Amino acid sequence: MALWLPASLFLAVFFFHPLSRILTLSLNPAALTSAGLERAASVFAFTLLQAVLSTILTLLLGLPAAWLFARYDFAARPLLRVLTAIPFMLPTVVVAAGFNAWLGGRGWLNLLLMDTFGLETPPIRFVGTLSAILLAHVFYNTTIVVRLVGNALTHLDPRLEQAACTLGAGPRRVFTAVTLPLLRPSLLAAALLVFLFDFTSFGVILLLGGARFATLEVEIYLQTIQYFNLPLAAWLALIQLLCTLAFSALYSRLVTRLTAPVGPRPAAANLRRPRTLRQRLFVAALSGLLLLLFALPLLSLPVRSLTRLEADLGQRGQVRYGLTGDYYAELFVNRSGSLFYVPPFRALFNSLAYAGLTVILSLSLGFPVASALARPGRLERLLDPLLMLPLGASAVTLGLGFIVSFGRWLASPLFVPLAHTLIALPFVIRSLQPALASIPDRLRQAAASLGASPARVWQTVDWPIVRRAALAAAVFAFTVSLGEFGAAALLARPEFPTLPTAIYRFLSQPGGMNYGQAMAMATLLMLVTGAGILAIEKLRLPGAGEF
Amino acid sequence: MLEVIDLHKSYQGQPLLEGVTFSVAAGETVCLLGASGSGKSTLLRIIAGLEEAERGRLLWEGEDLAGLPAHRRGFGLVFQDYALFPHLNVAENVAFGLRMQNRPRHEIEQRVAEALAGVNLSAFADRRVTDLSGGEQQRVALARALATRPRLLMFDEPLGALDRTLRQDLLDELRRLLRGGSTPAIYVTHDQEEAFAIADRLLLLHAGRIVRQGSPAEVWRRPGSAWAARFLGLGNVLAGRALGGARVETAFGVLETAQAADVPAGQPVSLLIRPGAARPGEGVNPLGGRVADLLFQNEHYRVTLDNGLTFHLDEAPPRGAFLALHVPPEGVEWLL
Repeated sequence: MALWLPASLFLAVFFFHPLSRILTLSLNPAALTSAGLERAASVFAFTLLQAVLSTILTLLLGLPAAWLFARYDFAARPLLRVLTAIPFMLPTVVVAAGFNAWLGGRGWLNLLLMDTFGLETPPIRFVGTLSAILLAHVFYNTTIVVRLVGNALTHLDPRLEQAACTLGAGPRRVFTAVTLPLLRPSLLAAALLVFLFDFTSFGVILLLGGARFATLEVEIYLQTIQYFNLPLAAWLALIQLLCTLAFSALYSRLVTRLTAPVGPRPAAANLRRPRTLRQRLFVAALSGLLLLLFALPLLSLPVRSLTRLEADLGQRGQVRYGLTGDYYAELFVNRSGSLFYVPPFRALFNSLAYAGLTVILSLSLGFPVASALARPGRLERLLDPLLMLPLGASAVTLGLGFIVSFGRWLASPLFVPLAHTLIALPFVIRSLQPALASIPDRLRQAAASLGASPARVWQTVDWPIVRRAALAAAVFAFTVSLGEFGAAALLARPEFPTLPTAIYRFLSQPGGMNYGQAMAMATLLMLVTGAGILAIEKLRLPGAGEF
Repeated sequence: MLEVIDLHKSYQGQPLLEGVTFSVAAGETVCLLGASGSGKSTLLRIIAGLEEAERGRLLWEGEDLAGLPAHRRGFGLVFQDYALFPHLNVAENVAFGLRMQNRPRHEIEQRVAEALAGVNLSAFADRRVTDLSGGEQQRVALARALATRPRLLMFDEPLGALDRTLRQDLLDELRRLLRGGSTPAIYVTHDQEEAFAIADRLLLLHAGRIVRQGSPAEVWRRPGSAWAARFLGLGNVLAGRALGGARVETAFGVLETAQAADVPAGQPVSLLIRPGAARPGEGVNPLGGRVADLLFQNEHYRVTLDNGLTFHLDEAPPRGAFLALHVPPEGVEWLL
C-alpha cells in the first residue's frame, strides 16, 4: 500500500481533482449557450470528418506499404522501414515545421518555383489547407498500419495461402477468402488506433491547418486561451475524453482478440525478391513514394534552417540564396521587440530543465507503483486501470484542468513539468513493470539467504536487472517532455517558453528571420529527440511491446 | 498419368534436385523416401505448382503442366502441419475447395458431409479447427484435400507431427483410403516404416536424384547402394576392393560371396551383411570379435562387437568374451 501512496496522491491532486473541476464546470447549465452548442457540434463534426479522411488515406498508403515490407526483400527495405517509423516519435512541431520547410509559403519548393518562373506569390498553397492536415496525419501514422498489419502479414503462415491455391483458389480469391479474413483483426486495430491519434491530434492541426480548422482539441485550446470561455472548453474536453475512452476500450478488446490465434512463423519465410515485372514496378513505385513522403519533410527542415532563401523587399520574384548560420546565431540575441523577453535559446534550457524534472518525478513516482504491479494482488488489479487513465486525457485537456484548478498559482513555471509527468507516468510504469516482474522471487530469496540485507538485495539483484528498463523509461520521459506541445501551449508562460511553444510562436509570425529561427529550433529539437529515440531503441528489452 | 522428367532445382545456390525422373500410374501410391533436406518437399511443391523448377518437365497424361498455375492443376496437397484455415470451422475448411469450384450449395453440403464421414469426423463439423487435437486436424486436412476429388493426391510428411500410436492408426486409415480409390498419390516421408507400409512403389531420393525404385520388397532385398543400405538400416555395410569373381578384399580379410559379380578386379565396392546372417562358430568368412555391447530387442539379442559389426543372436553371449562367428557366402551381398 505504501508503494502506491506517492503516485496515488500525485494523480489525485494533479489529475482527478482537475478532472472533477472540468466535470463540474461542464455540468453547469449556464455554460451551454445555443451558440456554444452550435460551435461544439460543428467542431465535433469536423473532428470526425478529418479523422475519418486521415484514417482512410493512411490505410490507403499503409496497407500497400505493409505488404511491401512483409513480402518483399529489396535493397532499400531496412532504410525505408526505419524512415517510416521515425515520424511517429517526433514532436508535432517538428513535423509541422518540416512540412512547412518543404511545402510552406517560405518552403524551398515554393521559393524555387517563384525564382524559376519569376512568380510574385508562392504557387503552392499548402499551409492552412485541409490537405496539409491530412498529409501530415498520413506521415505520422502510416507506421502504425505498417507495424500492426505488417506484423500480422509476416507471421501469416505462407502455407495457408498455398493450401488455398492447391484447393483451386486463384490469386484474387486467395486474398479475399484467406489473407484478408486473417488480417481483419489487425486491420481493424490499426484503423482504430490511427483514428484515435487523428481524432486527438492537436499540434499538426494548429500549426499546419490554422485556427480555421478547429478540431475538439484545437477548440479547447482556443476557447481557453483566446475567448476565456472555460465552461465551453470544459464541455468540449468532456466530449473528447468520453470519445477517447470509448475508442481505447474498443481497441483493447480488439488487441486481446488479436493475440489469440495461430502460432508465430519465422518471418523470413514470407520474404521474396520481386521477380515479375509487375512486382518490380510495385516495389519501385511504392519505395519511391515512401522515400519522397518521408524523407523530404525530415531533410527539408535542417537544410532550410541553414539556407538563406529570401527575396529582398519589393522583389519577391528575385530570390537570393546561399548558406547561412544566421538563424542559429540569432537564437542567442535578445532583441527588443522580439517575441520573448529572453533570448530564444533560453527556450532550449527551459525545455531541458522541464524534461529533467519530468524524468525525476515520473521515475520516483513510477518505480514504487511498478514494483507493486510486478506482483499484482487484487488491489493492484483494481487500481491499475485508474493509473492508466491519464492516457485517455489529451494533453490539452490536462492543461485546461490545471488552469481551472490552479489558476491562482499558474504563474509558476512548475506546472509544465507536472503536466509532462502525468503524460509520461503511464509509459514509465508500463516499461518498468515487465522488467521488475521478470525477476523471480527465488533470486531475492537466494540473495537474502546468502546474507544480503534488503537494501543490498535491491542493489545487487533488482537494480542490475531493471537498469536498462529504467534508463529507457527515463529517456522516454525526457523526449516526451521535450517535444510535448499541447499542455505546454496552455501552461508555458511567455517568459518561460519551451522549444515547441517557441517554434510555434516563431512560425506564426511574419518575416524571414522568424521563419528561419523556427527552422533552426525545430532542427535542434529534431536532433535531440532523434538521439533520444536511438537511445531507447538501444535500451529496449528484446521482446518488449511496441504499442 | 504423371511423368516427372529431369527436374532440376537449387536452393540458395546449392543444387537440391539434380535430374529427378519418375512417373506415377493410375491408382498407384508412390512413396518418396529421403533424409530431411533432400528436397522431397520441394519436389512436391514443384509438382503442385507452388514453386518452379529450373529445368525439366512435368507431364499429366502427356500434356505439359508448364504455365498451368497451382489453382488450376487440380492436385490435392496435404501439408506437413496441415495448414488448416484458422478463421474457418471444420466444415468450412473442408468446403473451401468446393466453394472455389463454385459448386451449388446443396452439393457442397452433401460432399462435405461425405468427406467428414470418410475420416470419422462427422460430429466435429461445427468445431473450431484450433480446438482440435493433432490427429483430428490431420484428418480434417485429409478430408479437405479429398473433398474436391483431386486428380492427384500429395502428402508432405503428413504424420510427422504425431505421436507413435496415433501415427499407426492414421497410417492404416490412409492406406485404406488410398487402396480403395483410383486416385494416384505421391507420399513424401523420411520415415521408412511409414514408407514401407503405404507404398505401392518406393523411390529413394538421395543427393538430388532417385537412386533406387521398386516395390518395398524389391528395395528391401536389393537396396542397390551403400547409402541406401545405411539409410534403410539394413545392416553392416563394408567397404572393399573387388578381387574378381566372387571374392572381395575388406578390412576384415578376404570375404567370399555366393555369386560372382561383373566387377573388374581392383574396383572399390560395398558389401552388405545383414545382422541375421551370422552363424556361431568357425567357418568361411570368420567375422568374430569381442562382445562390446549387448542389447535385448524383442526376439533376439543385438550384439555389437569390438570390430564395429552388429549381429542378431538368439542367445546372449557373455559381455567382453571373444565370440566366434562366421557368415556363409549367401549372407554377404553385393551393393550394386
